[in-house]
Amino acid sequence: MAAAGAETPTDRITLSTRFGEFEADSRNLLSFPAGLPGFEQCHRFVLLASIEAAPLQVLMSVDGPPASFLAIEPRIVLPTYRCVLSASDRQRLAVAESDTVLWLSLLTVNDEGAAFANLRAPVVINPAGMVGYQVVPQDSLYPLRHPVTLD
Amino acid sequence: MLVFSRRRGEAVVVGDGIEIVVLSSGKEGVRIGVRAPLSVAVHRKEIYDQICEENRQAAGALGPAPAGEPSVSEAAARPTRRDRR
Repeated sequence: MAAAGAETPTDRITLSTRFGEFEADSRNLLSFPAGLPGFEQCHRFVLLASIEAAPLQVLMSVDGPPASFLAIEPRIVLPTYRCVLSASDRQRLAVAESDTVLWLSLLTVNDEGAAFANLRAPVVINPAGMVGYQVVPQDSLYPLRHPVTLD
Repeated sequence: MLVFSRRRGEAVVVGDGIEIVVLSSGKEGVRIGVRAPLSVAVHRKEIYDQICEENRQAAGALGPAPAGEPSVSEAAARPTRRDRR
């Protein structure tokens, strides 16, 4: 989503990471009006994806405290994954029941290098509206830490 | 903290259109009903806290900016001009 283009320089945002600097087009910014739990001041994110890193993506904050999350579509981790948005979730994302949304699970990696996907609280993005939101379900059968095998 | 005594069926109103009702109370605890607009998020605090903690653990994927380099927020706040890229 943060692919290079021929935009004017003011359209670009520089992201500094320990892997060097990335540039993102400001038109690819995702709005997270509520931030993420624990990162309530982060209201704008970019989703970085590359062929090399697929199926992993990086959800990176461009304001508030520095925060960057490895993310993966939950159905890659668990093909039977199914989560339903509540009316309240849909209102927050400004989506209708029939609209397509993008689902992401944030990953943690422990000291041994094992990765776990948060299937309980998925990040949902409305790609048409460029709005995102982390769903905090009251009841979920899915774990906060589902083991992920990465090649 | 504002403290109220409420009996069963009595409520507290918070802000615009948020109502917290005591449904019952007993040895098992207090059952509370929350009536709020769809735009207002209502969570059990311990579940929300768990997800906050999980997010904090997950948040360092690309790490902090190296020392001396601008942080993400500074870089974003500053208008960047890179004419030859």
